[in-house]
Amino acid sequence: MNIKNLARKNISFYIRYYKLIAVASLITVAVIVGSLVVGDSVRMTLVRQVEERFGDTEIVIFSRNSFMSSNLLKTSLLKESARGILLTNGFVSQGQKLIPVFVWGVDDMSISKDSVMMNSALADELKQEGTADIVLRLPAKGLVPSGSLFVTENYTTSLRLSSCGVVDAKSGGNISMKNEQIIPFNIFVNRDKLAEVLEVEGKINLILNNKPLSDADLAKVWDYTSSGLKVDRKNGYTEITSDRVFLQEEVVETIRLNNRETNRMFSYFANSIELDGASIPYSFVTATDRYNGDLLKKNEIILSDYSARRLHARVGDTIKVSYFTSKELKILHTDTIQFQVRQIVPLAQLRQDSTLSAEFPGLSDVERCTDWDSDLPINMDLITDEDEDYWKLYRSTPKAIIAYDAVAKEWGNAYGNATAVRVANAEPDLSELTPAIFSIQLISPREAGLDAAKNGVDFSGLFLALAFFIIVSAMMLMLIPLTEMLYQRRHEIELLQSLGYTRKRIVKILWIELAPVVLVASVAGVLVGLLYTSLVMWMLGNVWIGATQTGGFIVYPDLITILIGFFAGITLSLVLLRLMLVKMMKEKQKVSGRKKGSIRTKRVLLILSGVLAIGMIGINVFFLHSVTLFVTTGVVLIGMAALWGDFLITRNASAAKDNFHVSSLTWSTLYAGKKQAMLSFLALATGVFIVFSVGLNRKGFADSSQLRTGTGGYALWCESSVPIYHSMATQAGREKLSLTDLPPDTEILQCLRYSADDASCLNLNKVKNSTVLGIDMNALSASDFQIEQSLYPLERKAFFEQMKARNDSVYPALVDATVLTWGLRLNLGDTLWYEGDKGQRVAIQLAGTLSNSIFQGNILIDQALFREIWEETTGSEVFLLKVDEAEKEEVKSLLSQALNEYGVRILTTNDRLRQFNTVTDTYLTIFMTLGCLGLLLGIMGFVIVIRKNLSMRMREINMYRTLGFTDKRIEMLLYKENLLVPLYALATGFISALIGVSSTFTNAGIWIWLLALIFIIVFMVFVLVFVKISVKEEIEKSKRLFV
Amino acid sequence: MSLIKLSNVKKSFRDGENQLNNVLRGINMEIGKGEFVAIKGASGSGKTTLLSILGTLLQPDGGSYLLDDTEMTTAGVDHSMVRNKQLGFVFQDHRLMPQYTVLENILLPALAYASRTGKEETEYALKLLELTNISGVAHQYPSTLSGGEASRVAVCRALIMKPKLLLADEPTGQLDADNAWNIASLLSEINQNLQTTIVMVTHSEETSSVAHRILTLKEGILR
Ligand SMILES: Nc1ncnc2c1ncn2[C@@H]1O[C@H](COP(=O)(O)OP(=O)(O)OP(=O)(O)O)[C@@H](O)[C@H]1O
Ligand SMILES: [Mg+2]
Repeated sequence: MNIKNLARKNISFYIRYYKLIAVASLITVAVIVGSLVVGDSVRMTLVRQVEERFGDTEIVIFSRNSFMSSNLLKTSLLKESARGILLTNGFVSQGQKLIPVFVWGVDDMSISKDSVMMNSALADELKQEGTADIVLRLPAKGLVPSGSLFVTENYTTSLRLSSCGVVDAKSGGNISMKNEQIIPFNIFVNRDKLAEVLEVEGKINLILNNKPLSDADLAKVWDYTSSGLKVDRKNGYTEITSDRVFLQEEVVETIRLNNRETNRMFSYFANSIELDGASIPYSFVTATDRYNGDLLKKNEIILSDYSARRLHARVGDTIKVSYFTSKELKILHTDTIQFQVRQIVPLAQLRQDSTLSAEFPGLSDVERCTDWDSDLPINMDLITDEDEDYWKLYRSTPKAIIAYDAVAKEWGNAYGNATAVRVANAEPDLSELTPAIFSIQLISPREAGLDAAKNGVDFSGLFLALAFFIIVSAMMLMLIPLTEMLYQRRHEIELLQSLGYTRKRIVKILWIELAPVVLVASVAGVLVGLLYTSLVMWMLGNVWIGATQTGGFIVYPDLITILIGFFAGITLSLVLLRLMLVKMMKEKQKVSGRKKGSIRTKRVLLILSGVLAIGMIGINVFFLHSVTLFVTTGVVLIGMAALWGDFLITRNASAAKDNFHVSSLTWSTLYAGKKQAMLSFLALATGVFIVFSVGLNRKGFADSSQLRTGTGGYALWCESSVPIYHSMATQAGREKLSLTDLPPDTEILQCLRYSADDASCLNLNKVKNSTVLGIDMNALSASDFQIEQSLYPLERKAFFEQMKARNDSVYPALVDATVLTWGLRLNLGDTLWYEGDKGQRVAIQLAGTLSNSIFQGNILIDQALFREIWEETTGSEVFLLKVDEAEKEEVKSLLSQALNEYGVRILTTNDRLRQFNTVTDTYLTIFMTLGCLGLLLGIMGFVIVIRKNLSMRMREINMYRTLGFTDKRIEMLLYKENLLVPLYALATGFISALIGVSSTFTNAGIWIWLLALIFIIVFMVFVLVFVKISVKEEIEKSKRLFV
Repeated sequence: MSLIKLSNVKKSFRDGENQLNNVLRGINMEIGKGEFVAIKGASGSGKTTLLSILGTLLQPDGGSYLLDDTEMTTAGVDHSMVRNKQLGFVFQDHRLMPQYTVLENILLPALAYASRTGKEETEYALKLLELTNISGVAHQYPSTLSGGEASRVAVCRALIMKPKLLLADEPTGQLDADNAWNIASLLSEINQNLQTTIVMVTHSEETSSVAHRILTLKEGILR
């Protein structure tokens, strides 16, 4: 016989208790391992997506605003390793639905010119109606930026292609430039075909290179011709032009800095050239620094002899030139400027200099003036035969030359302030032109992607935090049978002590029984944990897809993680059991009874915790509104309630002096079993607390008036696949967009967008660069959007003024509060870095937060400041409308019809908000599910306690009976005794939750309250019925043992 | 005037093999008010069974039991009330409830029908403690008592409702000779001072000597 044999026998004899201890330690390990592995799995899923997104691409060369020549691919550094891609947004319409897609023009997938391939996500989306032919709508790009004035009126074009297969994830079908886990809709087409349709032959805007590339390497392969600059050597000078017509200011200035005698030229379309009633309509005019080597003064004009004749002008006459200008959204102004005629030159001379006028597609290349295809409001009635004749003979030969300085500011646009630069050198020095000036970026997608994936939403933490309550419940579940068993074995322990065993030795004997049970259970716990992970991953991809927006989660059981979870769990169980064991063995020595002194300590503790709780509630309600504090407050409240309960029991159970009340029977019994009462109270109360606090936080059913601060009073949120370059606020703009039927006072907020990663809760990745919206701060100030926190302690108006001002080189931005905390994981005042259109690094500081709003996923900066950074973004892809509730549907259908070709998708702001709330609510559902699990364990513990309690008291029941207590009275006594704890726990949990969420519970609609009521009733009924049945059963059983 | 009158009381049990075990085969017994009767008998002879029937904890299979001229075997008798108001029990293992103090344990029967105890009851309980010579332990817990003290407390509890009949099942069984004698003489004192009728089961010659009458149970019959 040895101790091990004894232990084995003891285990099998007390198997009832050991089973429970095993279950509890199994749950502990399973929950910890499960939570950790869930985190790993989500992370690995995202990491794997990074690989799917980029394949073997090491570096991406991306030209955001313009195109690059495909010749770049022929350079030796890129030849072997690079794919040239022409990437554009587009959309596919299917019935009523417009599906935004990314269109990838590729040349290496052997896609014929009239076919198309797509990724499986899009195929799944489209398959529902089984389309074989796909009509792809694309922005009509052309090389000339659509946002400039001189472009054709068509902003979109379409392409009918037949579908020829699916590109799976392994072959790069899910390629994406964004760090988002939502699989994009991708369409792959023949690059040449796409270039043809977009009229950008020989151009690409994206290079994926599967070898690393440094900035120096890029500088080596890139030269200015790659970004469309053309250098023509002419007689005595060299002319530099761009295939997108406009030369960026940065480019012009760089050339001027490095070359002597430069001559800037700006070819423009004038509405009229006038002298005393005589007028030439619609003419090309060129502004230039010098003509034939002579500098032009700011007020000088040179006319061709043709123009002079038509205007009857002589040298010295004052000529008026008028033209359209526009600074934003093609809102046109007509400006007129006066010049003195400096010189009259032969038309032939101007004609000879064939590049005096730039080539504007749609204007320069037509046969007749009346064929001019432009979105400028050209009044064809003004065009005379004389004008047509001129056009026939001389085309766009300028009718006048004016001073560059006089108009450059007016004529300059986001894309540039010259159409050509001429330099005197035969070999112009262009060495300081860099790719960055042309907004070409070098991106290491893998690094950024992996960083975003690995630091994304921390599901380990999330699940562990939630599992905390489950673990607490499991611990209770572990201690209850242990105390029970030690009580049962008290005689055995006393016997061992009388036989001379030391306390230490007895603890050791018990330990030898406990430890192997915990060990075996913990090993099983690992397996259960993995099952739990699989279940959670499945749920995340299906039931809880609201939070993740994607399926395809993999289970990733990492050995190290599992070991960490296993050891954490088993250590927790063992330490707890050991502590309890030692403590209980010590208590055996003590004389039982109620201690007088402890009541005073309890009162002090109670008062202290009360003060603490009230303080925390105050701080939370008035100042902090912090989630963590809310949870802590809840825990403190439950602790306080526990102390209060302890105090009550201790006080009420204090010995009877003069009279002895029936309720004393209850209190005394509770006092005797205080430890267990406390354990099951804690387990139940925390369970109830978590279920309620989470439930009351749900927003799903919130009514619309409470949505107001989230929508700011705007009713519709629209996004288009093709930017809208016209203003929706002006009559002219509305005419262009066929929106004249809109109620005239409809308030429209058009936003500019710099597309980067989605920083809303829809994105599981960590977001480094969030999408930026350029927005009118005045409109925002006047709206119902609510500022939650700000760096500037100012009242609303002044705050928004502050938001319009750049602080040195730092741009202030507003951000949605939830995005700040969860998406970006930054603090107020932190700075994000962006790359501007000129390659400059731009600091954007998060200076204020909006409470939960439709702007989730974006950061907001003032529109004017936005233009400073991304000047070439001139079209708006996002706009908001304020319309009356009654007109909402009408406006919606009007918009979707009028703007169909832009691929406009319209969502009511309430729906958009609800979409985000769905995510939050799904997380809360996960919370609740785990909370319910915890509560279930709590209830299990409670049931066990009651059962044990009653069966142990069989003799007592009979004793009562001998003393003449009726069965009814005994039943009443037991009933009361066993109800007190769960009902107190229910009340505590519920009240703590109410106080904890007090700042938000106004969100909860009637539905939630109803649900809460139902929950309370169900819980109470369960407890009442269960206790009643248990008590009855026990009394019946005791009858059989009577005497 | 007899307090108890048993005529032809029978009781049998089924044992583990479902065999009928006729424990009491026809008990006839009469005990007068104020009498102190000891019952002796071999182990398993049915002493506890008989006492349980007297205490209405067990119903006989047949025969009649008159307690203070009331038939106890007929339906409609409120046995709980009878036990509470007219009977007191003392057991070998005293059966005190560990969660209550001595005083509370003694007062416990008073709460079977009332929701609180009054001053007189508390005073009476203290008087009983004095009577049994253990005034000092009133506010102690049962676990801290000596065996003799515990037995005395059990006696006090049995007396708190001023019962007509005190039933004691080997009240001295676990005590040493001195203590056993003390309890026995205590019961004898109570019998004399309070005029309480006592039926005591005992094995011991010495303790039974304090009784007025000694009955022996053998083969299901009283002699
Ligand atoms: N509830 C019962 N079910 C079955 N048999 C029982 C029951 N109660 C008592 N008996 C049996 O009846 C017989 C008499 O039991 P009782 O307890 O009355 O004996 P006793 O004279 O008090 O013995 P002791 O001196 O050992 O206490 C025994 O054989 C016992 O096994
Ligand atoms: Mg017996």
